[in-house]
Amino acid sequence: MSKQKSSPRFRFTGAVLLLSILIFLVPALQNGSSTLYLLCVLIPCIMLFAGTLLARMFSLDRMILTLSFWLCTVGIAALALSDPEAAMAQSLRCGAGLAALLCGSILIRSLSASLLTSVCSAFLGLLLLAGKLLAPAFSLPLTEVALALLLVSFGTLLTRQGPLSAILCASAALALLLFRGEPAEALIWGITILLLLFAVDGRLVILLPAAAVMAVLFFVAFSLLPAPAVPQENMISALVSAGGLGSDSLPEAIASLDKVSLFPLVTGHYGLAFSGLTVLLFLPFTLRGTTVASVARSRLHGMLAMGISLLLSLRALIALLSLFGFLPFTDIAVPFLTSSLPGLCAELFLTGLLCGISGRNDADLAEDAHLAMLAQ
Amino acid sequence: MKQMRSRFRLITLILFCAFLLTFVLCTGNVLKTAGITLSSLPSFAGISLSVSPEPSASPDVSAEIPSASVQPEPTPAENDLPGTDNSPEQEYNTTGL
Repeated sequence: MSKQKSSPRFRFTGAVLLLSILIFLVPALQNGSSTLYLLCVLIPCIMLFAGTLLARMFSLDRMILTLSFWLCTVGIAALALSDPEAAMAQSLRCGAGLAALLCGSILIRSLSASLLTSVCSAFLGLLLLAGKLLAPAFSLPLTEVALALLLVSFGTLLTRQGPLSAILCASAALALLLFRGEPAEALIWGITILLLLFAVDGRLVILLPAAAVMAVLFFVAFSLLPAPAVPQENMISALVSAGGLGSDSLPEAIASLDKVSLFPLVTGHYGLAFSGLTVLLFLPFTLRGTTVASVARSRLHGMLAMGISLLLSLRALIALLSLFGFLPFTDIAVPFLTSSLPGLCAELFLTGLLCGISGRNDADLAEDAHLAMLAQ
Repeated sequence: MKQMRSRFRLITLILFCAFLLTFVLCTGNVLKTAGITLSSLPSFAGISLSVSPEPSASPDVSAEIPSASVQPEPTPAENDLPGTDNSPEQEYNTTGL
């Protein structure tokens, strides 16, 4: 029985490992770069180590882990073709992200819905958001870190104190995001909060005022939104110029773009078909995350798992819609396909929280089975 | 808790639909930017002509084939189209297969 269950999982992990070897080996054979050979050995080994030993040690969800590692690998591979040294730097960032993932998976086991947790995480999150307003020289892109902390705070406040204090905290974060001039992040945060409020407390008395406040804030923000620096027609033309299968040399239109978002690089090198399939992997990632949320035993864990799935999937959707000219944002990257260290660490930290909740669910189910066996 | 789980399932469904819609929109935008439309695909146009159940359903077919009027043996214009070499049987055309 266990063999039948584990077989597709191992096939999936094996396919990802094989692809991650090939994605570095082929350019290494073409270029003869020692860095690419090193990446060809290093990255599959780390994936194998994390997917087997670390996943067993920390009871991590292997599907979520493998999907997030594959997305990180695609980001590294996109840089490897044009600049192997940048790819090595990106792999180090992913290594730091792996540490953040493990921190998240450990932290969730001891996280409780206490007032201290909610106040501390809310204070830190709001401070990180207000840092740029208080001191303009503070230019670290810590928005995603702040949102991760605020999500924890929102979940604990909603579980312990009720909806009013949670809405106040979330609205303060939303206002700060809009004042900072980050409407894309504010949109993601606003939709996540509304959907979580709907899931936890579906009363119209709560939902309608919250939706009205967010609508007013967004109306103000979009009326003040400056024109994008890169015209979006140029962005779509650049992506389409890569063709279905991509090429070794980047099209000039993509090479001139900002290197924080790695999705255009993936499209330029590997083509629209591969990048489309890569982005489609967010669908099983999201479905797995929402399944973890549905199975969670405690309210806090369920809400956190759903919030994390919503944050990551909405970010992927809004980034895609912005890249293809449906939304007027330019500064948003697809999750895991970013070269920003704080952003990558925050996304992998959230993934670690999700993996930890999944491990906690498995432990609860095993305990239930044990109790049922004892009762017989 | 049970109500929360059912709402979680609803949100999952919304996310699933949003993903599919986004994928379709982005694919459509890419095809539009690349200049690929349904009418620009010749195979699609050929299929649509060859499966028309009645010759009168495509009135501009004879206009597209100017050599049809100078042939020694006048044949129906639709027989010159690809995929219609044999004279069509009545049953075949009426079923539209």
